This record gives sequence, C-alpha cells and structure tokens, in this order.
Amino acid sequence: MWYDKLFLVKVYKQNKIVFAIFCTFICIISYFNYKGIETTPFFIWAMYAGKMTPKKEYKIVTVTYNENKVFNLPHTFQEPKSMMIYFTINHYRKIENNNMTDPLQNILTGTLLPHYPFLVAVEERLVSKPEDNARYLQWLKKYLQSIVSIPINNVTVYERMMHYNINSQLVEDSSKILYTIK
Amino acid sequence: MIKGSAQTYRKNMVRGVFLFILASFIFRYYNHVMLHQLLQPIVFKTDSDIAYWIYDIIGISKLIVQNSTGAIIFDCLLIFLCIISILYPSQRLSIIVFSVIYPLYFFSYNSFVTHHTGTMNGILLITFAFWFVKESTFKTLWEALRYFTLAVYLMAFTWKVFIGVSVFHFNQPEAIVKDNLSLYLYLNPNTLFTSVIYWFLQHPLVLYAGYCFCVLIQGSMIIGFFTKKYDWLLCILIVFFHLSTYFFVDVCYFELLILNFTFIQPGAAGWFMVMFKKGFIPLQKINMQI
Repeated sequence: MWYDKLFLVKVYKQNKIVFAIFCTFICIISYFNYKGIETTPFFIWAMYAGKMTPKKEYKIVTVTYNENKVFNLPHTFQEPKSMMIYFTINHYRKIENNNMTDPLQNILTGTLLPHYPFLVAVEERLVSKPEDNARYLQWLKKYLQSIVSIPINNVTVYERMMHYNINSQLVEDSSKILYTIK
Repeated sequence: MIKGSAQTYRKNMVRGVFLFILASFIFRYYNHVMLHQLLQPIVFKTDSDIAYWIYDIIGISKLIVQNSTGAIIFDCLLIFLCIISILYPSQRLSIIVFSVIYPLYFFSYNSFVTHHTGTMNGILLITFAFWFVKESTFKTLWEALRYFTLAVYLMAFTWKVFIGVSVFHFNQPEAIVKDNLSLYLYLNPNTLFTSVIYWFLQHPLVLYAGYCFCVLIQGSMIIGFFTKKYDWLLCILIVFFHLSTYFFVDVCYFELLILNFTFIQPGAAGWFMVMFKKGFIPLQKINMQI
C-alpha cells in the first residue's frame, strides 16, 4: 500500500516505543504551537509571523565609553556579544522601571503563587534579586571592557529617538542619557 | 567517493556535526559568550518556558556561570568532548556526555542574554541521534531529524501564511528591516551596506518581493516530505534563506544550519572520510586507531 512508504508507518512496524515517542513529540509541538507557548525543546518557529507596521518613532540604545568612543559592532556575526550588551540593558531597564525587581516577580506574586503555593519554595531562584540587579551596571562596564580590550574609565548609555523621513533616511530627533557608569 | 556502510556514514556524520559544533564554539569564543567570558553576569530572564524554570531551580548556574573556575572547566569540557567525538566517532561516551551537558550551555547563555535565542536549537537536538550505533535505530532517528528540519521551516511558513498572515502585509519587510537595522544605520551612516539598505527601504516593492520569496523558500520544504531527490536543492535554499536574514534582519542563524547535515545522503558523505584515509598524516594516524 502507498502508506507503507510513510516514515511513521515504517517506524511503527520497526519499533512501537520509538513510534510512540515520535507521536508524543509531534503532539506536544502541535499543542504548544496551538497555544503559542514555547517549552524547550518543543520550539515554536513563529518569528515575524505577527503583522508589523513601520513605527513613527524608533528608540535605539547606544553606548559610548571613555568619554566619546562609540561602541559599534557593525557586523551581524558579532550578534551574540551585541545581544549580551543591548538585550541585557533593555532587560535591566525593565527591572529598574519595576523598582529594581525582576518583572517575573510580579507574575509570580500576582498570578502563579496564589494558584500554585508550592512555588514559594523555589520563587527566589526564578528571579534575580534586587541587590544583585543593583550591580548590573558595574558588570556591564566590566564586560564591555573585556570586549573592547582596553581599560574603560566610564560608560554612558543613551536612548536616542529617531524617525525615518520621507526619503526613508534615518533622522535623529533627540537623545537622553540613561546611565553614566564611572 | 567511498560507498560506505551505514556505520561509515554515521562516523562521517559524527565528525561533520562535531566539527560544526567546534566551529560554533570558536564563533562564540570570538563573541565573548563562552560561559567563562560572561564574567559572572547579573541579570537573567526565565520567562514562561518550564525548561528554564527547571534550569533555575536546579541552580547549576551558580556552579558553571557564577563561579569563574567552574565556568572555565565547563567550557573546556565542552570543547574537549567535541574534539574527542571528532577523533573517535565510533565510541558514544563523549557524545552522550556532550548531549547531556550542552543544554546547560544553551540555557545559561539564553538566560543571561535575557533572550531565548533559537540559533542553537539544532545543536541541542542533533547529537542525540548519535547515542545509538545500531544501524536501524540510528537511521530512524536521523531520518526523523531530517523531517524535523523540514518541519522547522514549514512551521515558520505556516505561521507567516495561515496564522499570523504577515506575508500578506505589504509593510512587513519594511517594518522588520527598520526595527532591526536602525542601530546599524545610525552608527554606520556612510557604508556601502547602509546605502544598499536605504535603497531597499526606498523601494518597498522589491523588499516585499524578496520577503515573499524567502517565505516561499520556507514553504518549499514540503517537497522534502515526499522525496529526497531534491534535498541538495533544499539545502542550498536554506543557506540562501539564512543569508537573506543575515543581511536584512541582522540575525546570525548559521548555527541552525547544522540540521542541514540530515540532508546528506550516505553516498555523498564518503568524501569526508577520504580526508581521514588519504589526507593529512595526523588524521591518517587517528583513523588507524579507530
């Protein structure tokens, strides 16, 4: 029969346990895709699947060190270290805007702990502590120094507001200093 | 070309995959994101992924990330296991240990970069296929991984076309480029690449056509579910797709290309063994020991 050539049919005939494992994997992936919740290793490949519209204003974070040296990683293959700088800054800003508390703490306290009280026992392991968060900016300076490989005296983090003009050219509107690290 | 047995094919794949992983570690070392290079990071993000919760609850990061000695030992162990697996592909111990501890690197980096990146997903899964030396079991798992690879891109296609319907949104590619390349355009206003990107932004129709083509590439993976005849083409299309996202989305997903190894057919993998049989003398010696 034509279905005898199908991979899962062949696996079923060969080993029923492996067949069950594959089916379970497929079911779980399908379920998480349906629910839109990712749980490693059942990944959801939905990047840029939601509709996006060009914004009127773009906010970007830039970093300078030793007065006016611009931290610039122009190549995409430098993405991992670039993420380690910019993504952690963005996450730290969320923490700072939340009274130096990890945003997950709000979800734990407000939603999860009332329903799952046993999570109290592990709560402190799931969120970064406020006293640790306070050390982030010094870590950023240290990490930046390791990347640029020269001693760094000070670091300034800016937020810049931009827009694209009618010719699709990027134009800076304003900027403000977010952090100055000595 | 060597018409190898299934065992030879498995050995070739082990060597190819672990060489690729070694390249990934060199790439990560260059990028200062091996665990000992993170310099005991502070903030981390757990999110709603239960696997990350388990990672945090176990508290292993205190030993392999927050402890500088532990981080160095862990990084060295990863690279050591990689090299052992390349040199001695027939044994399974180093492969199994690697498969078990690599997720710790995966969770550590993703937690402390505060973003659950998808680029290492392929490495996370592919080495499990090498746990088995029995021909039929390995063949089944390897083929399953091939279907998984096809499904990865097909799922992305399904999300963009049927669920998120973003492919029908003309402004989508323009928004993606502007979102991801604003920092580059601001910091590097006078480069050739900046001029090219501005040209594309001024010609959104061209950008949209390119975006649709990339989505079609993802959809074309459905061919692989019916025949293996065009695996070479699918392989090239996937590389092209990731090159496009490299330039236009500013994401470096080259590590996911490790899944392309599952497209390599047994006959085509023989060239790799030639290097070990006739090539460099040190490799020849290694091959004699196996």
